[in-house]
Parts: sequence; structure tokens; C-alpha cells
Amino acid sequence: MSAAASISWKKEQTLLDLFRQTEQQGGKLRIEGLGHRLLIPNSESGAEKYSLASWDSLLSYHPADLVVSVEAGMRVKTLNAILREHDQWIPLTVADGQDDTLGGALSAGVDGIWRGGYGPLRDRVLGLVVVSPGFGVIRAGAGVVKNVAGYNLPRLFLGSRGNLGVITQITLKVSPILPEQRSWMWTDSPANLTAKARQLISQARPWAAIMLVREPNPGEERYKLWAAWHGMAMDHVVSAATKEEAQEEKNPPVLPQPQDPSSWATLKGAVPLTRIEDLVATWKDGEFAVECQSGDFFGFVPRSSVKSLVEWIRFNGGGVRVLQGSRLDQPPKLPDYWARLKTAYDPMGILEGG
Amino acid sequence: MTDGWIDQIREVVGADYVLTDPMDLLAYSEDAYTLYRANPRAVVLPTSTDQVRRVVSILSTHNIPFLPRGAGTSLSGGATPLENSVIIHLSRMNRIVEIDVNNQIAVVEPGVINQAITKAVSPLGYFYAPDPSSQQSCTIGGNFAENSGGPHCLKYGVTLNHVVMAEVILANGEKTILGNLAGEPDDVDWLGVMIGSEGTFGIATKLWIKLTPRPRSTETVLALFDDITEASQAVSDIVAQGIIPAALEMMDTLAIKAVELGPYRVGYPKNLAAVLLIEVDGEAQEVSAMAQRVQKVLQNHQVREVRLPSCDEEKARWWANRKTAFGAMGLISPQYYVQDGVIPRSRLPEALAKIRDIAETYDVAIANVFHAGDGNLHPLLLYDGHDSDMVKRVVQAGSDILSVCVNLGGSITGEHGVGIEKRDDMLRQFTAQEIAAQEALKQAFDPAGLLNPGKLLPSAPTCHELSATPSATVEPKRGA
Ligand SMILES: Cc1cc2nc3c(=O)[nH]c(=O)nc-3n(C[C@H](O)[C@H](O)[C@H](O)COP(=O)(O)OP(=O)(O)OC[C@H]3O[C@@H](n4cnc5c(N)ncnc54)[C@H](O)[C@@H]3O)c2cc1C
Repeated sequence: MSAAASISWKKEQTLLDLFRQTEQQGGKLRIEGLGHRLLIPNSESGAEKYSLASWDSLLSYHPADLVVSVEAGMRVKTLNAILREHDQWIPLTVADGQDDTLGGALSAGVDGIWRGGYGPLRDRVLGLVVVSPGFGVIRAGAGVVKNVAGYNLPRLFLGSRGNLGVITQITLKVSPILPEQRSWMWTDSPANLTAKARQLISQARPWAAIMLVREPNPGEERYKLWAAWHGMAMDHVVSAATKEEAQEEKNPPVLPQPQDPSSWATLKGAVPLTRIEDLVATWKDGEFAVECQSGDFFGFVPRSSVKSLVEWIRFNGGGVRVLQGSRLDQPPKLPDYWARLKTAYDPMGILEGG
Repeated sequence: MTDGWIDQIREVVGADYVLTDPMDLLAYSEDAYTLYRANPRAVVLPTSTDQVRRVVSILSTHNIPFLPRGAGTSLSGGATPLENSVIIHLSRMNRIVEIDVNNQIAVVEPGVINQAITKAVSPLGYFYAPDPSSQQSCTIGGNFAENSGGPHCLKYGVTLNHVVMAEVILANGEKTILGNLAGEPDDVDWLGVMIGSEGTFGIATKLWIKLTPRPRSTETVLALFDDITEASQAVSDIVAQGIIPAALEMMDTLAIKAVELGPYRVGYPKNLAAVLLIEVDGEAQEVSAMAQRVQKVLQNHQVREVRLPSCDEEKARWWANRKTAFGAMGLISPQYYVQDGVIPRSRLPEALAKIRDIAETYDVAIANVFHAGDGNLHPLLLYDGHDSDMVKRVVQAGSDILSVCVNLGGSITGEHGVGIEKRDDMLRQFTAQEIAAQEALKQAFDPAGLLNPGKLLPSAPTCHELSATPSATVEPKRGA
């Protein structure tokens, strides 16, 4: 008997009931966390909404194994408060400073400013519990840091916005908080700041984050570079940073939300390292942040510019998704295997991706 | 009867590169999982993506099962042909196409040997991080299919974390590109789904892989223990202290005995219970601080002796000693069967004690050589294939070890894959529904079920027969 056969999945049962009801009513269901990363607002969607934000329990935590399991509605900041007691954390800080539920962040494909130093958020996902109309409650992945048993099902649910199933539980690899942390900020032109970033990387690596940010400043564009080092190589790094006339700045810059959200969209993605400067030059309007070790970016664009910027990023070897505020006019053509999967996991088509 | 398909394939790749002679086929009848063998219908050796695409189209049109093969070092039977399949052997697609240092990416064909990549980029200050112990012979295509790991994956991650883009031929012969140069999915992470699918979703014909800058400083520590429980507690404590070594490997008494008979002797004292090989890397100042902290933890666990290498050659010897440990088993036993379960690393002492009990119960000698930092066990069960009773006991003992792993909250495989070997063990870890959800994924990519049939899923035709001497063949399921 497999280890899961004896679990009752009481809470998940409520979702299965909801699926049945929705199906009987011929409706659609849309799952959300805190609602920050919805492609289109609920008011524009005809689907029934169900929030998982109250599914926020800590399920298990093994500090010695650096592994934690939570319900999908657990907020990142809440989880980090728990982990901090053991000098551990999930390195996820989104450039706009907003908190997310872990389920929401993973379903939408959110990542944060620490990707250069700590890797992508998706690489921390060891296991999920997912409820789908086609297969009921299933566990995908495992609770250990290494596992290749069967197909990599968790990857199907990361970034697919609840179209195939609802993530209800998440097992993640956590990181130790390194005791020594320093960070610095510079203000300059983008060309000088990217040169500075390269200089820093040549002196020491990996930095926890090296983030180039365009901030609003009426009448002129203003660029900042924020670099954070987590680790023990302090003398070396301090001298590398101070040689570059830095100012110490503990907190990363936060991108303010656009004043009129209805005409803006949020983009998230990454470009190849050699395209970072081009991205900065191509991103005509709106605030954004790009991490200089990974090419990972996050930012706001007028809705009218989404299509051209997305095309430019893809043409230049990058990957990009709209996180909020707009559906792409021409989404990438979905492969045949997607249609077959959707039919298997959601045969009646009741799940509408948020 | 071949309905002419074999002639069509000969036209694509050239007659010399289609093997049908039974003597040639015999060499392809198994991989490094030697408990099972079956002959392929034919072996095809293409040299380009276009040839692979055309060969797959012909096979799929004729409803003939097929599978890709790299170096055949799979330890789970992934490259063994079931259902009278045709093998597409990718050894001739072995070019490093491009090294793009500015984007820290190399473009390689699937038949490139893992270690050749690090050799090629080393002068530029980079390395390819996933380093299976078989890296001198296994291919990057096989690594892609198995999501292979290795000692340094503790810090750097497994193959999944190092492939950013792939050119893949799907089961119907369609060519597709998954991922992009930035390693950032646009929607569903199809590349992540494909990696580790054991050659059952598609054939990788070109891979874009991440190059990792060489750390500026590395320190290696060899810790010799009189007590295996203390050694395994030290492993758990090192990581619990917030130290993530680049590698944290362990060998027990029997494994030490074997490697000391091999070509890379370290000169371990007699009667050691366990040794830990620990590597930390990074910036110089941070590395020496970490190495000191590691030694402190070791002292707390009654380590008999801590050695630091006196020169690079000594360090290289320690690693060669560890990386050739599987092969060294041949020096103490006619055959070995390696298991690959994973447990939470804090449960290591308990798991090793249970493996000792299993060894006693089945009267089987078991050596342990493994990636301790990941909790990825590799118990090596020693046997003589001519002793059929012993083979049965070995298989049963292996199966019990997997139960221990699952019961401790772990997995039946950390890096060697399910293949033929662990198909039925999938039911230990997953419910019928969970298996069905995985079958749906296979169906989505390969509705006709032609790609590497009979692997990974327990619902595949059950033809897992074990032989005392490796000679069992499977009856063809589909006619040519
Ligand atoms: C002594 C020894 C030590 C080992 N140590 C390790 C270790 O430390 N870590 C580890 O993870 N593994 C280890 N292995 C297992 C093995 O080396 C790996 O699984 C390796 O990735 C297999 O590569 P290969 O080229 O030999 O592939 P093969 O054995 O030829 O094939 C393996 C699978 O990959 C598929 N495949 C091959 N090429 C492609 C392609 N281009 N596209 C799609 N699918 C393809 C095959 O169909 C098959 O399913 C070890 C094996 C041995 C014998």
C-alpha cells in the first residue's frame, strides 16, 4: 500500500464537492490566493471565484532537513516568520514588495529578486498536493530533496494558473539565513550601473542579488543598482563594493504600483545575460527591476506596449509571462499535448486559469 | 517482414548505420541494469537532428516502438529495449556545437560525454555542474532523460537545474524547441516536464546547458570514523548548521574494502566504519571558515581522523577513489545490484541500521557508497548471478530497502530512474490515481505508446522476469 492511501484529505474533499457543483451548474471555477496576480480582474471573469487564502496551516517543518510543508494559502511573509526562528527562509521577495500566497506565487509563475543568488523559486518545490476534476487528490513529487520517481508532475502545475488542478499543499526546500549580510546602493546611468554590476560579479560571486531598478522620477528616468551579499567573505566583498563608491542600503528598492492599474500590465521573465542592457533600453515606459546575475526581470508596462515588449523578449532568447492586468492578444500557440492534458485533468473544462 | 521500413531507414542514415545482425544486436540487449535483457529489433545510428526526425517519422508511421540510447549506463534498464523496439543510438551525435561564455551556455549534441563538457570549458574558468560518477562514459542525452545527479548536485542542483533549452523530436517525428536561452518558461515548464521522462516523451537532439563559473576556492576534507552512526549524524548536523557543502559523500566498511583494492587507493587504515568525503567551495575567506565549522561538527561526532589533502593530486585521488566505487565492487563480488532510494537526511542513522538488518535477514552482503548530503542512498547488494537463490534474495532485499525509504518519508529513486527495475515499486510510492495522472502525461506526449514502451509506469506490460544468468528475453508485443 502506498504511503498516501491512508490520508483522508478532508479539506481537499470540499474542492471536489465544489468541482461537482460547478459542473452541474455548467459554470467555471477560478481559484485565487490574495488576488494580486490575476490576468484579468474578477469583475471581468464570468467564473465562480474560490479563495485558498485561508488554507494557511503549517503542515510539517523539519529544520534539520531544510524542508517545510504548508497549505497553499500560506503567505510567504508568514512562512518566513516561522522559518526565521530556525535561521532559515524561503528567498522570495517580489520586486513590487507585495506578499503572495505560496500557491498563488507558484501557480502564476512569480519569482523574486533573489533568483541570481538562490536560484528560481520553482527549483525549491519538492512536492505538491493537487486536486483536479480528472484525478481527484494526487500527490506530485515527494518530500525529499532528491527524487526522480515517475514523471515530474509538479512542473505541470507551476505557472499553469490552476488550469489543470488546484495546488493545496506545497513542500519546499528552505535555505539557511546566512548570518553576515551587507548591501549597497548606487545611482547612475544604466550603462554605468551595468558596468558596475559586472565589476562586482568579477570580484566575488554569487551575490545574493544585484538588481538594476528603474524608478519613477517626474521629468527624468532614475536608475539604481542594489547589491546584496550574504555570506562570510566580508572583507573581500566590502572592499569590492566600497571601491565602487557605494552607499550602504539595507532594504532593496521597491517598485511602486502604477497609479492607474487599469492601463498597466505586470510582466515577469528573464533575458539572456547578454541582453540585459538591451532590455533596459527597450523597456520604454514603466518601472522595472532586472537581476544582473540571472537576467530575471519584473516590471510594469502600459497595456498598449505589452505585445511589442513580449515579442522583443522572445525574439531575443528570453522567456516572459504576463503576471497581471492583461491577457496576451496572441498567446503562444498551445501544443497538442496541452489539449490532451487539459482533457484528462479537467474533462469538463470547469477550471479557468486565473 | 519489415514492410520496407528498414530500407527507408537505411536510405536516411546509410546502410552501414543500421544494425540488424544478431551478434551486433546482442551488445544492445541490456544497459548497466544487468538483471534483465532483451534484444532490439534493429539499431539505428543517426548523425543529425534531421536524420533522427526522419527515422522517428518512419517508425511512427509503421507503428514500430523505438527508444533512444546514449552510453547504456542506465542502472534501471531505461536503455534496454522492450517490446522488440528499435534502438536509436545517438553516439554519432557527439559534437559540442558552441560555447557561449557571455551567456554562460554550451550547446551540445546528445551523444556528448558528460565529462567532455567540463574538459572543454575548464580552460575558460567554467564547469558543467551535474557530475554523475559515470561521467567518463555517460552522455548528456542520457543525463537529460534520467535527470541525473552526482556528488556536486548537493550544492549545484541536478540536470533539471542546468538545462535551459532543448531541441526534441516527439514520438510522431515532430521537431520542437522547449525552453529558451534565459531558462525561463513562458507558460507551463514543458522543458522541466520533459527532463527526467526517461526517453518516453521525446528524443533530445540538441541541448543548451548552463556553464557554472569555477569557484575561486575549494577545500576538501576526508573524515574517518569508527562508528557509522556517528558518521551519519555528522552528515545531518553539518547541513542542520546551515552549511551547504558542494559535496558530502559517504562510504562504509565494505565499500572501503572494495575501493582499496582498486587502482585509486587512499590508504585507509584497517577497520574503519565509515568515511565522509566533504567538499566546500566559494570565495576563499568563506571557504576556510566553512571548512573550520565542518571540522568542528566532525569533532563533536568522535571522528577518528580528519585529513586535508597535501596537494591537488591527493585530492584528485580521493575523488577518483569515490567515483570508481561502483566498479570496484567487481573486485569483491561477481556482480552487484545498486539501489537508489532517498530518505530525509536526518533519518540516515535509522535507514542505515535498517539496511544492516535487511542484509542479515536475507544473508546478503551490502556495501554503502552514497550521496549522504542529499539522503540519496546507494546500497550495493553483492551477488553471484549463477546462484539463483541468491539472486532472489538480493531482489527481495532491494525491494525491502525501498520500502524502508518510502516508510521514512522518502522516494524509491533519487537519480537512477524507474526504468524497468522499479516500475512495480512505483505502487509503493504512489496511489492508483497518482499513477493514472502520470499515465495521462505519457498519453499526452505519446498517444500511440511507441516511445520507450514498458518503462517507468507500472501499468506497462509486466514482463519483469529476473534471470539468474542474464539471458531472459521478452516476446515481441507488436509484429513488424
Ligand atoms: C558506475 C556507474 C555510476 C553511476 N553514477 C551515477 C550518479 O552518480 N548519478 C546518476 O544520476 N546516475 C549515475 N549512474 C547512472 C547513469 O550513468 C545515468 O543514468 C546516465 O545519465 C545515463 O546516461 P547514458 O548516456 O548511459 O544513457 P543510457 O543508459 O543510454 O539511457 C538512459 C535513458 O536515457 C534515454 N535517453 C538516452 N539518450 C536520450 C536522448 N538523447 N533523449 C531522450 N532520452 C534519451 C534512454 O532511452 C534511457 O531511457 C551511474 C551508472 C554507472 C554504471
